[in-house]
Amino acid sequence: MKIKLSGNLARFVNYKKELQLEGEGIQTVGDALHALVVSYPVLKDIIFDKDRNVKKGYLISLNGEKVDAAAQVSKGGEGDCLDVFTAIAGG
Amino acid sequence: MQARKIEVMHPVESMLFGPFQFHAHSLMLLSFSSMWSWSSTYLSVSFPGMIKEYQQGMVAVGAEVEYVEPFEMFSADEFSVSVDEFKVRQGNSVFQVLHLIRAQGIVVARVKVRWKLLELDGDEALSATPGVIRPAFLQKFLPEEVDPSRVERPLLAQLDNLKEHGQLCAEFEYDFTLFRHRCEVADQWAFVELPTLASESRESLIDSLQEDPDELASSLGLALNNIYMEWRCPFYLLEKGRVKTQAYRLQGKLYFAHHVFNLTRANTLAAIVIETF
Repeated sequence: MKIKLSGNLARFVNYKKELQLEGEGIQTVGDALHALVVSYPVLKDIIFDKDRNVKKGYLISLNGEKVDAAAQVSKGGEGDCLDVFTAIAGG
Repeated sequence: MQARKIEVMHPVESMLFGPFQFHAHSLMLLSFSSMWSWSSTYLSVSFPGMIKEYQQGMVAVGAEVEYVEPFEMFSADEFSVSVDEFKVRQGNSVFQVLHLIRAQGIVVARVKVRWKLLELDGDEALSATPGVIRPAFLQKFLPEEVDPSRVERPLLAQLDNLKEHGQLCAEFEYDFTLFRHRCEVADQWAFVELPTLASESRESLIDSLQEDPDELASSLGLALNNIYMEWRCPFYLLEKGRVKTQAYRLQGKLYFAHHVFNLTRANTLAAIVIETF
């Protein structure tokens, strides 16, 4: 699975354009994001609130479709692309 | 009680101007600076202090730059930028700030900006959600500076009028990548850059014309009357964008309407700009 972090999140992954994530246990978008913060612990308190939900300030899309954390991914996330966007409108 | 105002003097120099008037981004940048002089003076809140002490941020959602009187580089040696009105609007969710640009005692331009307030989560990424001003921050404003009514959005009426009554003369698409020199501290586009993207697209349209029956190129020799802007979607470092520009003539005036799309975010409409000559 590819994960792309844009906006104010990019600097926490050293501005890598995309990250590769693999894991048999990944069944949902939420699983993928929790696996991501294992590799990048600094993102844990940025993406998740204290109840371990994705903060309202972020939007997630899976293969171009807006989804929530419960959305199912392909087996192990193979072939999927997950984008995490900052949701705030404005300039 | 007398309204709380502030006026900051600046020397005239060439970088602030095009041939006929102030660059819009110059006025917006100086206006933004004066906003924080006002806040520091009357609220004892600096921009970093707003973030650190009140966990509050803001993004521009609307602005108008209006050129009131002819004023070019040789018109005067100095000018001032004021905050004439700073209001908490729309159910405590928006700052609306009116700036007047004066020279030799005359108002030569006006800048009005609406800022949507954000509530920060307190993390290192400045994660935020739209919200309202926090009570401790709000209490620093005078009662007459708080107006719960909805803000006006003059761009929408102007856009409808153009579409309904204007004569469409030409269209153009201008692609860009958002590089860091156009961004603010959080790598999001700086609000002062929206009129520069619009003018780049307009000038590219003019540059592309093989024939010019509507004399659009004449706009390069004219001063702008006003620029109306609205922001709709975030735009971050290295994201790709497209400005779709339409030139209109209406009642003898020339207008350029620009729709800015964020291609990286599924072609989301990110901003609209209307330039009136």
